Amino acid sequence: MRGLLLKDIYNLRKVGKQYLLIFLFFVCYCFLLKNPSFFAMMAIMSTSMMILTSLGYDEAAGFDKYALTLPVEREDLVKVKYLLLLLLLGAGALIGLAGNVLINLFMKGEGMSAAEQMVSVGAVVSVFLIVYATMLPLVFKLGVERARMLLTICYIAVFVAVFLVFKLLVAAGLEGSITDERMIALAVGAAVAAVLYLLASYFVSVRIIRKREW
Amino acid sequence: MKNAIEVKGLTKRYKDFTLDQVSFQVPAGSIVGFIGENGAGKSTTIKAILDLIQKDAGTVELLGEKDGGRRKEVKEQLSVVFDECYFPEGLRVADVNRMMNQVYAHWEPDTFFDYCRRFELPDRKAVKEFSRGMKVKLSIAVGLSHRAKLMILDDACGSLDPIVRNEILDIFLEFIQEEDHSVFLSSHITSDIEKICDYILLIHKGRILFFENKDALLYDYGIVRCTKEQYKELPPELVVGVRENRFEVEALVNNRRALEGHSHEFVIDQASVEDILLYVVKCNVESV
Repeated sequence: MRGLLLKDIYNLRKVGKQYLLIFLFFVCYCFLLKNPSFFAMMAIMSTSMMILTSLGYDEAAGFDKYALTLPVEREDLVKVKYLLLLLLLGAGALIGLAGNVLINLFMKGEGMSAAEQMVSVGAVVSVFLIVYATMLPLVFKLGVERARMLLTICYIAVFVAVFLVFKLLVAAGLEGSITDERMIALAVGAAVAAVLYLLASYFVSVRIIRKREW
Repeated sequence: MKNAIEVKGLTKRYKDFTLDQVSFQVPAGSIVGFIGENGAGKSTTIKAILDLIQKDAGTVELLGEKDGGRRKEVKEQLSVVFDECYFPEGLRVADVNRMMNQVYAHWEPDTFFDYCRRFELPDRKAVKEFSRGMKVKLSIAVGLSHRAKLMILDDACGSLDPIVRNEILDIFLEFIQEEDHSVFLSSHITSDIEKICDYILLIHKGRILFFENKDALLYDYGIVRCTKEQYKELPPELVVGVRENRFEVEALVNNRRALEGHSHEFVIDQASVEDILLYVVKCNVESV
């Protein structure tokens, strides 16, 4: 497992540098817009997208077929990608939080409160967890290339759903009643739901990989 | 452990192809060459042995363990080299070493780097900049660096130039000096098979045609060159394959010594593994 994870990290080195450039662009952009929440979202989106890059590289190289001749179980192929996803999301969240703090300093305290920052980053991580938890079984079933169209639909669907939930809250007049405490409770609830969904997605992916042929 | 691989009644059905009741064994300490034309079922057999596809029937015993028993321990002692290199393209030699150090319990970095130097693999380039031959050499270097007992090669040497191929064949011969080491080598290059293999396994249209000791095979088989009339005198049970041209008939026989006491003196040439493959697969007896 550790070997597979190392392989992914080495393999993402080059593309990581490209993402870093895009990321720096967003840093400047957010400083200019003075919008830390946008920055955190872009950071998490940039890092988490590398999971698809990693899966795409493996698929192009046919790595899974070779990996199964090593002392590696089929489940490990799934496990390592879910672990990588969590690491990428974690890295994105840390970068997002660090960026938020920096932008806040730059805005001299006019930005978000610490609780707002945590909730904002937590919510973005939860949304991306749901997005990728939906995508990964599709990728294990169809491959990155074949699943690409479904992936796009999946991406859009999750974002539309989040947007609609937000609009519903506003329409119901609940927006004003959201205090810091409620916001945190909501974020924690969303995070727990996202983690449970990710677990379910993991077991679906394991079932798919157990039946797969190379 | 008597056999490194023991396959019994292996069957895999596809819409347009069936691997049909394949049975054979790779005796420990030997090199078995696996030959057959494209699409004969070589790669399907290897995939089924490696559990990359689900078999419909039959059993596979690898290093004494039946049907995936002690899978991880078995894979620790197994090296597989395919016709292509499946390392992701961004990796370098040093990355492969660090990765494999975590994958294999008995990974030997010094052995790996020795083979990399021997194969002249560039350590600063990523796999994507390697030629096809270099990629296969990298896979072979990995395969030889973790104290494996069984090597399975699926047409791995096809992309190598003759000089490197020769060197690698010598490495395989070194590898099986240990009495419990074995090699199962699928290849189209019959001269390689003839050079290093102890046994030859021939598959055709998903069925095993024969599994023979190579020396006995080359000793017994011969090509009889004769006229059409003389051909009719040949005992039909000896004729494995036949082809005809304007001047003569060439027939592959499976026991040339049986013809020695024959009333007619036939001209019998030694048959190579390639001849045997061609005659058995392409030149059927009914055509003359």
